[in-house]
Amino acid sequence: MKRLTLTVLLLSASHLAVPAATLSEIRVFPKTIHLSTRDDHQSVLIQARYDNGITEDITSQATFTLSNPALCSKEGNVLRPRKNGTTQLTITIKGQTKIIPITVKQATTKRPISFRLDVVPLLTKAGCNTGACHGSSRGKDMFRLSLFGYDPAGDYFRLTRDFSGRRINLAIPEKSMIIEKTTGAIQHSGGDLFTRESPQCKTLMQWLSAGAPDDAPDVATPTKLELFPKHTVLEGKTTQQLMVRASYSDGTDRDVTKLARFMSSDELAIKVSPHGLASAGVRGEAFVIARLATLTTGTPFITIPKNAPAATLGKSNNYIDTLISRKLAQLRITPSNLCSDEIFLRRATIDIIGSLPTPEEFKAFTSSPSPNKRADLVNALVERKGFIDLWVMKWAELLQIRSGQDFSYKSAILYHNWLEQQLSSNVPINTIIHALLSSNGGTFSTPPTNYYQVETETLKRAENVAQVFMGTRIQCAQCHNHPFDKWTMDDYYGFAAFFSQVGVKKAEDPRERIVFNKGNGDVKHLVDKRVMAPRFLGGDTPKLEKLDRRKVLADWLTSPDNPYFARNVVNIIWAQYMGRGIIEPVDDARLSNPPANPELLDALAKKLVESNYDFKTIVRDICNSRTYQLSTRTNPSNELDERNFSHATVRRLRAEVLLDCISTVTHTKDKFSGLPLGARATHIADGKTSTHFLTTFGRATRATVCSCEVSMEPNLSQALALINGKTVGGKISSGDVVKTLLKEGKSPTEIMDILFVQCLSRKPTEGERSALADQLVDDKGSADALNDIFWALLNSQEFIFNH
Amino acid sequence: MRPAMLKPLLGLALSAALPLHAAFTVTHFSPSGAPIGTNTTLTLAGKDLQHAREVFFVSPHIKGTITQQPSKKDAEKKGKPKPANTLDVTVDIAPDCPPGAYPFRVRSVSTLSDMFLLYVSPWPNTLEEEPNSIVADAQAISQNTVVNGVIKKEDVDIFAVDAKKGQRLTLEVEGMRLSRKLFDPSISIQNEDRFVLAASDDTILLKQDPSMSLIIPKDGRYFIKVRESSYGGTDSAHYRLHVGDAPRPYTVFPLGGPTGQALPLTLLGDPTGPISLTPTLPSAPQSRFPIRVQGKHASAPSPNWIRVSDFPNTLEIEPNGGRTTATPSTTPPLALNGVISKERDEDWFRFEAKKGRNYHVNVFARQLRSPLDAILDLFDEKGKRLGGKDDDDGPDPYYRFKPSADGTYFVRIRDHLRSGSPAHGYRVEIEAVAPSLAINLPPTKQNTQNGQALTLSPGNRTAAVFTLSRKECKGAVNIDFPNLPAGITAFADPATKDAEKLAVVFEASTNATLGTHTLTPVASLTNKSGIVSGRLEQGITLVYGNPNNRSYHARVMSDLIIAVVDPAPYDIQMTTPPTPLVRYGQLTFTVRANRQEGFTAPIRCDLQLRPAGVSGPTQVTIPKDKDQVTFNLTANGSAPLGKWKLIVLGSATHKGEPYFCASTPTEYTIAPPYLTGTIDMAAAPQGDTIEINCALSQHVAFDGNATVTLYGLPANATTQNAQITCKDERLSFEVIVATNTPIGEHKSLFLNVSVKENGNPIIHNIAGGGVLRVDAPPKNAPSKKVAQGKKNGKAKDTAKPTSQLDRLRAAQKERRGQMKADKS
Repeated sequence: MKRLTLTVLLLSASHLAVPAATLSEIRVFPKTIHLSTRDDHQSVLIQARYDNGITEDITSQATFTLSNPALCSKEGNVLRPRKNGTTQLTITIKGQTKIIPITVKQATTKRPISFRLDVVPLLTKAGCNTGACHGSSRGKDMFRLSLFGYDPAGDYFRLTRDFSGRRINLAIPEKSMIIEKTTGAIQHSGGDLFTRESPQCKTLMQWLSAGAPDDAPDVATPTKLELFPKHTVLEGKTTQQLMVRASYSDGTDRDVTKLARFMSSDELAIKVSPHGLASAGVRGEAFVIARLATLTTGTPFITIPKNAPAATLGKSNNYIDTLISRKLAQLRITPSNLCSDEIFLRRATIDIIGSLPTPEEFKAFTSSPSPNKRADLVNALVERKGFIDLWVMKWAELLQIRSGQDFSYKSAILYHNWLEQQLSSNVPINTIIHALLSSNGGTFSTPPTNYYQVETETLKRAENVAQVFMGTRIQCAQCHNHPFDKWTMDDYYGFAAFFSQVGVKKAEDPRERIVFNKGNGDVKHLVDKRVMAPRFLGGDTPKLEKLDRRKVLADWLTSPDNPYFARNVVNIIWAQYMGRGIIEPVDDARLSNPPANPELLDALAKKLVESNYDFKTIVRDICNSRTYQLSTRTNPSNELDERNFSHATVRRLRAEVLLDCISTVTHTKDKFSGLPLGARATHIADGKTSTHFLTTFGRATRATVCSCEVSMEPNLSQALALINGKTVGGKISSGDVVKTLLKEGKSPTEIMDILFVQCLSRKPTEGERSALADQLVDDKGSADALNDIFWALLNSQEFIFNH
Repeated sequence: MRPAMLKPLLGLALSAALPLHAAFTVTHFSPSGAPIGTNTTLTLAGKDLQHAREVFFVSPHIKGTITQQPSKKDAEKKGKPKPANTLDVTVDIAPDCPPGAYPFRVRSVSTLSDMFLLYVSPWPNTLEEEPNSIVADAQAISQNTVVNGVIKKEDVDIFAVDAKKGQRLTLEVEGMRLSRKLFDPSISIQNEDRFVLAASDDTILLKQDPSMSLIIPKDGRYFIKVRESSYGGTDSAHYRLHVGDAPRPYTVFPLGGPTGQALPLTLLGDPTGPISLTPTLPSAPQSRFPIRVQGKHASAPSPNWIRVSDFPNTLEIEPNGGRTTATPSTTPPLALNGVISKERDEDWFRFEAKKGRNYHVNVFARQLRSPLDAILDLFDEKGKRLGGKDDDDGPDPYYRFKPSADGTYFVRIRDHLRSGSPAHGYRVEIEAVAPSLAINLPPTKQNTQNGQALTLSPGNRTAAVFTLSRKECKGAVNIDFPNLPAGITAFADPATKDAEKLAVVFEASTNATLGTHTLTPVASLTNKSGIVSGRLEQGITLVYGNPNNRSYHARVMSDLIIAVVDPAPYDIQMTTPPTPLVRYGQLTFTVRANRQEGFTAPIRCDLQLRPAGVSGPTQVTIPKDKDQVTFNLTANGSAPLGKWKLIVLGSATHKGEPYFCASTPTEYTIAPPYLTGTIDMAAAPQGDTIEINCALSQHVAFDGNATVTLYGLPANATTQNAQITCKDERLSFEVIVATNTPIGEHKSLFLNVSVKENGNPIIHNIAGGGVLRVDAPPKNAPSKKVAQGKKNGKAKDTAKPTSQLDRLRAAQKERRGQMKADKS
């Protein structure tokens, strides 16, 4: 029946005619043109946007007219200076006219060649300073460059002074090794990069002929990088030319499309040529980034097949659905249908409280006629103890609560209990994190100070804060500017400086430590040993006066204006319930890994702030959304969609929840070290405590803050542990569930129904019922036969997975 | 003797002094305490307790009697010996016994057990009864009782007590303080609705032990839950839970006062409000004087602590938050008392000090259980900071201060985390530095109490090596035992002015009666300022725990425990060596055992007292059935010259129990070497013969010939011994290098010289580090010219021979000539 409905829907969808697109807007890039110095140039892009969201590169269809051709020359869509003054470019296209003002300055002045502005970007574009080539920490073939040019002064030294007479030849510049290698005149492991006649070679020759000068100390530095167009939706196998413009500290700007390096996050969807021509591939999304010097910028692309039918969207339950639908409509993806009540009950109960619904809950929910029963269920579940337990476990993983050589079990227990008490008292999440980051005192008497005992290295503390509370990984920037993000080494060491004054001393109890603000201590930059002033990541340099640096950081991080914190928290919550973050992985937000739905992330973050950081509100919103309640069954339009939440995902139960569920349905108790008999696995305070079962199923060791600590990947050992291991078989026999039910006088068929409901939250299908009934008749309804059914249920994928 | 060199040697010597194997052992006992004025039976647990002979309390208020030895059934089962693991002891506690913790040990046939503490209190005791792990099974108890219980693995004990509205209910647990293994208890109290009214884990007053006091909100039944703070527990995790209406203040102000005076005190923290008391302080200074507040029915379960000093108090006068408003005091010695009463508060005092004097500035806060984690700073009258401290072997700071001019100086006190409260009291004592002396008998094995109490047999000896702590004084130290019991004598040579250890040999007469005694050793030294005397300050750690076996609970003893045990079946003696131990030399010692008939077990001998620069075994064993063993000591070039003593401590197992006895100290002399020397570097190809030349420096004349042996030659290289007289300055050995002698530099050549004096050999090992390089034989080797030296090594009186280098050059020249000839 379900399949039939789906087919009907799909059929009806395919009948939806794609309406003829009408032009809704013409966008011109850039809005103004500044040409300064003789060799400057600026290209112009024109993009059409249609009412169905599709965009088109129509630059070649336009007519360009200069008001005063004496001031600049025009070659296709590229303008070059001739004479100082101001004029304008008139663009005529599809019956519309656009005007771009032009300013020309220093039209006859030749800009001196610059190592930093011309040579280094050229080397970066050619790939010379990538990690696989000379950008490797040990260099390549005895020549090292800084990775992606983070240290131009060092690059200049190594190119000109490090191996005197080898890499450059100022007497005969064309005999310089840097020319001969790159043009293939002599053997080069990196291959022939460009020809003698290429602009790149000319630039290098120009620099060498000028005597390979270093830049003046006041050389302009790029301050802003813009990538045009800002948003592109390509239909069919079409293309879009990109344009990159850099602004400099001296107030000038340059068209650096030829100097910038392009990368696409999904080359199947969008492929970008070195010259910035983006070509559409399969249906999907990609984020294209352009990189120049230390700057990186990006733009999103969507590609949809030619004539893809429009999406059929369901009713929105709340803002989440509206924003998801908006994106799906753009992608022309029809979301899956709503899941059944039985599936929803099981899914929500496992997700929210880490348990299976009891047969009584199953009966009450499935028989309830209330139209609001799903919302009522969600509201009830978030108030149960299991909800807190799961979130304490999640935060305990992120905070790495794990005993060890310098971290006593008592510390772990106290830290865990503190966290539990905070979450069960509904303390706003930003208040909890503020308390952690700004904590001072004994690790026993003030448990949040354990945050600084878990990780004792200054740089790692900074990295962990960025990763856990801001969802971004800055580790790369310790040694070089981040290759795929905007973080520079200055950002890294400036941020680390917030943790440079954390003091730790012995307390009276040998197991305890006292964390305090030393009031002194600095972090120095790795390259030039500068003392770094504390600077917020991606933000300002605060006035510290004599304040505790960590408190200043905590104030900034947890304030409602912070651009990272709330987005990161809601992303973690979203990932917990949807199986995938809006940014995925949740702790790897970066320019080259943008959110799947930035508007949704912003809306959730806004809601979190408005609710005074009450994460229960977000959980309710998520679980009450239609998006959460979709079926896992896909349709042709969404079967390949993995990132837009157009269908629910099948997720294996995490180790602790799986064990608790097995114990619950088999009526057995577990014993974990340091916990009384019968304690749930989700209650284990210490990351070091584990069992063979939990380890096999990927329990987080809490050795790092990485979201990858929890392994959800199914593997062969897990299957064998369930089939042959002691857990399932042992618990079935020691729990005596079947025997008890038989004693209560239940018939084998009734028992079969009960087992199905307990394990799978559904009754057996007719097919299952008849197949198993035959088996029961053969075995005369014996306990063994029923236990076999029980065993099969616990080994079924339907049990092990949340769906 | 350099202390840095002594330490590792000390470690070696001490770690070796172990019993052969643990036999009689007491591990714990139950109940852990008893009421005053009662007879109570304790059950001791351990191993081989059938060997117990006496329970010895240091205090005269308590007498222990073994009432039931383990039955034979316990000790033997199915014909196989089985360690008896329980022993019943009755303790008789006098009615005038003050409450507190009383140390005791159990004497066996041959040893003393570890020290344990028995807690004595006025309240009646009761025992915990399982099951009591859920509220429904809670064990009902009455108020003003002490429950003696145990927290087994992950155990929770719940007790029910009825209380009246408005009454004070005080709960306190002795757990870590009971001197068992690491046990960190935690308590909470719930009302009938399971609402937790209060909980306590660690406390400033009692460290890991919890305590709480509250006003009961309404009549009813209350449930007290006791557990290990991390849900741990063991069979020996005993506790004593005090439940009653006793007062429970947590801090005192001021934290000390002058000797002999009535001191008005305010005690804070009790739920009924501040408590005032005016005790009369004792006439002698005390570093920790207990203040036990008396309530209507009982006194507080444990005391608060103050200091009693020989000088007057200055109490802070608020406001004193800055230099200009500093509370005035006098000239040292003085005591400043105050409270950091609120967050970010700081207190200033001023005092007068003299140029050139050295002063101790000691802060007492946490030592007297104040929550303050004090930071001390000193300033001069211009406001310049002279110095200060945060922690000093604990949270309380100490600073040594030497004024550069007569004048006014300032002390500033604040909290490390800038917190404060009315409980954050402190006391600063400033006094002129004075000489002091103390002795200690540390454990002979890390993380144990081994060797901290002594046993000896009638007619036999034992030895103890005390460590000395001289402060602000130098000089030789004497030790005296004024109250030695009849039948025991002690012998000790004074420790030299540089020595950090002092060995004492105790001897019991053959008719000494068996029993346990306390000794009060007194050490003294005389220097230019007079006699400085000191007492035993023996730190005995009762609880060790993670990380790294740190001390969690310890007791400082001023009395040394010594017991006369059953006669040992052997004694040991050493023979005095007839010759000195020379620097770069070695000396053989012999230990002889006098065995009782039928006693054949091996006797382990630990060597005590070896100065730096002297090395040798730390332990030798007289084998089974043998009566003696020999060992060598060797001295390096920096071994201290002079007369030294060596003591051997023997241990041997007899009928399953270890018996210890010591030799009398044996004197030997460390003397300069008779001769020293060097070995010239030598090189030879495989299959060649070479002369190795040595230069000698003669320092002390000797008679006749001495035999010299060249040691350290590589494999298969051979030579003969040489003879020298005290006139010889050079010596050579003809060494035959075999064709299979390993190629390479062999750098460990040295000369062994046996000089005889009065017919006794004095062994020297001199000229260390000589080098012989063995090369591959040259290709096209010329016809081999074996040196026509004499076969026997012999002292040479000729001029310096052609060096090996000259010979190699000549050989090279010859080879070149040969090559030219071949070409031509």
